[in-house]
Amino acid sequence: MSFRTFILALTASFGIAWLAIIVIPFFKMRDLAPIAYPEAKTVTAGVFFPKRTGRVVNGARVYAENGCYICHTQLVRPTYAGNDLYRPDWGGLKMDPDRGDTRRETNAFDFNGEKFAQIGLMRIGPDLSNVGRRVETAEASSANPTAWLMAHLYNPRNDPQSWNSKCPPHRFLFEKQEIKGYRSPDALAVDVGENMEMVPGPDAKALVSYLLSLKKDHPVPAALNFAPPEE
Amino acid sequence: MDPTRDNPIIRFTTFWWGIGTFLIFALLLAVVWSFNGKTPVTLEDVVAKARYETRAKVDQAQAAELSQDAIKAAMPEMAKKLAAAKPAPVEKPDQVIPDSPTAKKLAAANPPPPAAPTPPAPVESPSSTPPATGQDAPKP
Amino acid sequence: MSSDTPISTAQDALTRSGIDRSLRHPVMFFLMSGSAWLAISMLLGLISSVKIHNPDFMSDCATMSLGRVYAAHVNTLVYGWGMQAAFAMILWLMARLSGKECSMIGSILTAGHLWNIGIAIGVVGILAGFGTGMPWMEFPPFAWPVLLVAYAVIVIGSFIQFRVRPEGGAMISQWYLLAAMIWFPWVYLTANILLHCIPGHPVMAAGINAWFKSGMVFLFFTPVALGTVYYITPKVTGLPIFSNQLAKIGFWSLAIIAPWAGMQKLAGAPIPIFLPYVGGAATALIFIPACAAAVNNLRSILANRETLALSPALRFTFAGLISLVILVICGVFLNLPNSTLKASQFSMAGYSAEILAMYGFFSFVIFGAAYFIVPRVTRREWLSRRLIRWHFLFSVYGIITVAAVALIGGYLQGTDQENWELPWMTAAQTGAAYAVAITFAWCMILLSNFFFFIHLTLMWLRLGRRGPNPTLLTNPHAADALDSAAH
Repeated sequence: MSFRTFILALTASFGIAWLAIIVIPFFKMRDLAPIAYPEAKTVTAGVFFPKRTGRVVNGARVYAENGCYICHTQLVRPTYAGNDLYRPDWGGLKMDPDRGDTRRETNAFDFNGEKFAQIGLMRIGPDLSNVGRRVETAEASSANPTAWLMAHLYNPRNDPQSWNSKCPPHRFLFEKQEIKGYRSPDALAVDVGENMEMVPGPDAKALVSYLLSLKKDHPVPAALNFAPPEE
Repeated sequence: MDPTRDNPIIRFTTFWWGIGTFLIFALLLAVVWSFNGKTPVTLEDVVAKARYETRAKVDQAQAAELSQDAIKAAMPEMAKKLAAAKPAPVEKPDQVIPDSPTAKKLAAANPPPPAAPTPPAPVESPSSTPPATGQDAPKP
Repeated sequence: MSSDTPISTAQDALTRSGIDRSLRHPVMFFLMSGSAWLAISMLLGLISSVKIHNPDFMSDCATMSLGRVYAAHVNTLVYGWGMQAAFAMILWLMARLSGKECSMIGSILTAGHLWNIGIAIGVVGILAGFGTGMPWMEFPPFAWPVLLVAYAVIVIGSFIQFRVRPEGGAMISQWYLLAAMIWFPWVYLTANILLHCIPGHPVMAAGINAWFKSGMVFLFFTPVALGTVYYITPKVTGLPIFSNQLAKIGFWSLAIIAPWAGMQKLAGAPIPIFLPYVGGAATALIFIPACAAAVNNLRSILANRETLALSPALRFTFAGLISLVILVICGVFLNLPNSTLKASQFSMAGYSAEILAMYGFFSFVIFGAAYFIVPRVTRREWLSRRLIRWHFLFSVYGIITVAAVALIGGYLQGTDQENWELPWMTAAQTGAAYAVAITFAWCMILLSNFFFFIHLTLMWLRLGRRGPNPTLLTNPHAADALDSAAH
């Protein structure tokens, strides 16, 4: 076998896979056609557009920089690939007061606004696809979801309900400042010394805004709806 | 060692072939990209299209109701009317704040009439002072 | 392919020593700086492992937060240690196999320093909070072109050496090394261009990243290690490769199967459905090339058990091959689509399998080769039998723990996670014990590398033992008969 034949064979064996699983899917998915959703005509021009409110770009950057993807995933798998949908609050809410069962698997438009879907490596912590929905409806946190998330980020083990959480404390996202006149409304309920308070820094605000935007249980058009038929 | 197998020329060409081999798939990627390079249409663009259409319709309707030419034609007349109807400035001197610039201006423009000169105070001198008892000194 | 002749002429010996002399600085540079990065990586790995079960450990320091330390650990392992160890192997093996001296020493050393500087800045970038968030590609985006240029300078000489080698076929080692040299830029450029330069769909970007991780393991580290194994085994045992046919089948099956692997990490994600399942199938099929290489080499090794007991190089190579077999068993067992893949996908099994590949297989083979190569390039023998034995023993304890965690722990943790009736906090608890096991494993491995690094430094400083007999794992008097086989 000559050198040239060797290189050609290597190119062919690599190139076929390269084309088939990397390049062609990449370029086709760049131009993903929007799915028609006539029921949402008045809101989103008749296409399925899972709108996200919150600082998605900045928050996703903070999420990536601090390695949240190592312990948390953002993927609700369809039932043939995993049991995520059976949990009551991962794919949506099992008992949403207005819509009933809103759970669904992640679809291709759910990462709208992000450059790199933080699917995640391991599940040392829960899946975060619908953490915004969870935090806003759970009894413990629904009064002030932002404050709950800030407190969780500061030190999860301060909250007795998550005493065994393995989430690391992110004190470095917060700033200590002097209390001037009255406490800041964002201040955390922690004791940091005489006349001092702990307030979220810019990264913490971006991250919490991003986390609260994670509500991937929008209603979907028929083409994306794989829920079993109503009984 | 066969000299024709190892010489600077072969080394030089092999160097470039090597670099080329490393870069094959980057080049192929560039080729593919040149055919598929246009910026993808995002969901935001699609939804925005509908928004722009609505906005265009609104602009059109507004423009129809609000004819720019009619406005332009009416402007000079209106301007004249407004200028004519301009009320005369009213002067109320008692409303002028004392010591304000306006007051000073008024004072400069209408100086107060010179006041009657006050008679000089009688001067106590021996020659002109009439005797204290005499009553026939003419009084000025 | 030409077979290995055990008789060496004086001319050959002179050529060999000339080659070794020319390679002393490049090989020792990459082994030393690689080992330094390995030590740093193990330390960072230990810190991140402790933080997984004791999150309040070192929690006051922003640079030491788990997300950043873990990313730094993985990147220093792969690029600081893995790539540099691979460079040392490629440079020495290709030179020896092609019978050519290294002619680019200055450029290679400069590029090596550039590589180290790039890694250092990259790691500081990650710890300072500028990581990109893409697994195995967390260095800030400026780093990859720098590393690629340094890479090209370092390996192009070996590419040229192969081309100008004397008349004759190519050894299977050379096939593997050449292929690795070519596959790395293909995989690295593709992934970096598609993820950093051309905007695409976010989930597809994650998929390409998963393919990149697998490509690095199976299309670079594995062929470098296999090329090394195919050189060391015949040299040390004195036996030729068992079957050339099997070796060729092993190579081409790797070339055909490995480029498809990787995307099983995205099973269930909204990408074309064939992608993850092809990835899983390919990962499982890697057992074919792995078993071909393992059978070929294990036969020679096991036919020569005295040498296995005496030679550090052979012992490490043997352990590496066993790790490879365990790794591909994990690859099959953990990727069965409708059963184990669901459980293992997001459990510690993935991380443990990566460590098994990078440390258990790749690093063990490199250590074996280092114990063979370093005496030849420094013209000194290893100083202490005991240091070698401790290096081996502690590494083996560590890696057995990691393998057990990968197979058993990861699977059990995943199964509990999949049990939706269990509240999440309870399910998450299953992983805690295995996290502690990983910490224990890192302690063992860190200790073993402490011994290796000291030993290697002494050799680099030319403080090794002068003498004709190699340092063997037991009493040297029993080794006299094996003198000729060990060259």
